[in-house]
Amino acid sequence: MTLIKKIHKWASIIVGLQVLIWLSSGFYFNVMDHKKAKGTQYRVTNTYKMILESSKLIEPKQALESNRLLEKSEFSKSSNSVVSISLSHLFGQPVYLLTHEKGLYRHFKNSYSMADAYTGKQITIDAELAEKLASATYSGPGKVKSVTLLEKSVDDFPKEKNSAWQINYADELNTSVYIEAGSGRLIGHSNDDKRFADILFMLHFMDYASEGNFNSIQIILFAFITLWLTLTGFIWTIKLGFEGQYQLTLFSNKRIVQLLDKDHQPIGSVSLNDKTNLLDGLTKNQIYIPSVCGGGGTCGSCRILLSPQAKITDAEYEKLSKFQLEKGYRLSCQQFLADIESITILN
Amino acid sequence: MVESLIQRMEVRVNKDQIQESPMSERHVEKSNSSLLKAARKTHKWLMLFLGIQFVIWSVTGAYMVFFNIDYIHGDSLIKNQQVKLVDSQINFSIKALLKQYPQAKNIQLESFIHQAVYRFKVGKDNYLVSAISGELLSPISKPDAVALAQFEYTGSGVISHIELITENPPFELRASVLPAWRINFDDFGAPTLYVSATSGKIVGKRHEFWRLFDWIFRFHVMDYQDSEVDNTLLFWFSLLGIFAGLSGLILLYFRLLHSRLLNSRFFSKDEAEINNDDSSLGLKQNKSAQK
Repeated sequence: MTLIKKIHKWASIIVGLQVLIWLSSGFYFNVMDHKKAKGTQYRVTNTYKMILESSKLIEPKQALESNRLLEKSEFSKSSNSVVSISLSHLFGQPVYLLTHEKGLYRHFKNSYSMADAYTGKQITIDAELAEKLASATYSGPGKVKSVTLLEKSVDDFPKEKNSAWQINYADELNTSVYIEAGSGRLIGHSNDDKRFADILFMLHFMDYASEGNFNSIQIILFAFITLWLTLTGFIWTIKLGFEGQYQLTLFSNKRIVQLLDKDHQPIGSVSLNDKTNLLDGLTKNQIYIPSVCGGGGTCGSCRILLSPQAKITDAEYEKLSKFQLEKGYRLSCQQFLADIESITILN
Repeated sequence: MVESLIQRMEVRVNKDQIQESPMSERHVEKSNSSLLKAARKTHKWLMLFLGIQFVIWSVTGAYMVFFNIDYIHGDSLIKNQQVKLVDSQINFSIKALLKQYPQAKNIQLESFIHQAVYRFKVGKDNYLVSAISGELLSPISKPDAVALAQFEYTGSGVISHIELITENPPFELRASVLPAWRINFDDFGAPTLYVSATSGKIVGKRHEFWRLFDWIFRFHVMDYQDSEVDNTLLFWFSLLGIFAGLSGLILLYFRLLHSRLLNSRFFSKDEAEINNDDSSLGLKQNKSAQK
């Protein structure tokens, strides 16, 4: 048991505050407004529909060929291979979206190019186009404040691995809309409500590097130590139960017990409750036994002498000597009234 | 009556003695002491009821953080093949396709294994059409589904079970992707790939670690009735859990601060042993505090 308590203490020293953060943030996730936390307050569906005149379409094969020519001339760095051509549209105008490198998910690294589906002309999502795409999904009152290309990472969407346009709106929620630079895809909306929830997620996941996952080395370490904390606590609680430390005062009986001073002279009597431990019972009668740990059986300072001898608990084996135990010394926080007749107060 | 009065007075006297004795210095300040006692009681009693959930939280939490989420999601089961489109395979024009399927939406020219295909939707239905011949390939046959699964699967590829699911999908498969072929592999973690019979795409991947993860998550958020994170049970457990945790931290604070205090000032071992009869009985010292 000493080891169990020691592990419990050391584990709580290391992870105690984080456990409180986990509990508080977990509670917040339970009560938060999940709709708000999504950051989609002003998000609407882009209502443009493709207007297709199929006779004017160039064939995907042509798009493939012109891509090859273009890449040979202009971007010799990138490969000219295409794994997918999809017929899409920008504000109703048909375009071919060519996928050169297909990620397992859309937010994984992907590489695209785009061409007008009638003329084959290359299209790049520039600031102006990105802003237009963003505004087609935005229903809020704000005007566009800024348009920025984020090439490395998107703080509001840490899982996103593609470069993105950030379009900021001047509304009361500081809404930002993100458009993937390669494809014009809407990555998502974010606002202050979402950012606040994200901070709590970051704390809950200990994801201080904002990697968008909960597999960082620090959380693995803390989770491992927390296992020790809760398992030792669990064992401790069971042990307390077996020692009879969980007593309901609801069905208690009172009995008078003799009090003796340290010279074993009677100094009076008190009426004690059989469901309250002796430390608390005596305190209620204004008899203060010194206790540092407040009744946890960890400081060993609340010694008293009982007659007749009482059952010995684990805490007493740890805190009192064999000789003391034989003499009848016990810790008042660990003992209940049981069949005790007299209590010797030691100071 | 008189007797009890005398007893009381005696008790009072005794109490005063305690107050004046040097031992009384052991008392931490009274407000502190009652805070400590309240914390002790709160922690002890709340944990009697919440303790099991704390164990569940830590065990399920540990599972979720120990296993990399990408692994859990089965990313390592899939090769994510990048098959290049080849001009010579694209004989069926998009114009011909649109003539045949005027309602086609989301048209994509891609590959099914090594064959160029058009994928598109008409209403809610997926279609797969050969870009070589214009032939309708969907719904795909069992051998085709198996071939695709083996083409994308990263493991050994020994198949243990094949089944076409047309209704009542298992928990792990969205109903919107039906009909789909379920292909189980005879490998570590019992991986399954789901191949849409109509689009000829991999629409799902699972292994036991993900299946377990789904359960683990539900236990973590106490979702026992499909009510997700915002359930009442979690509300009470996490709210009371905050008090249980806070009281534990208060206990820790006293344990760290006051056991040092206790040891250095009042409980020096030698002093305790010479001092009086009781101490000479050899009070065991708080060893952890002495360090």
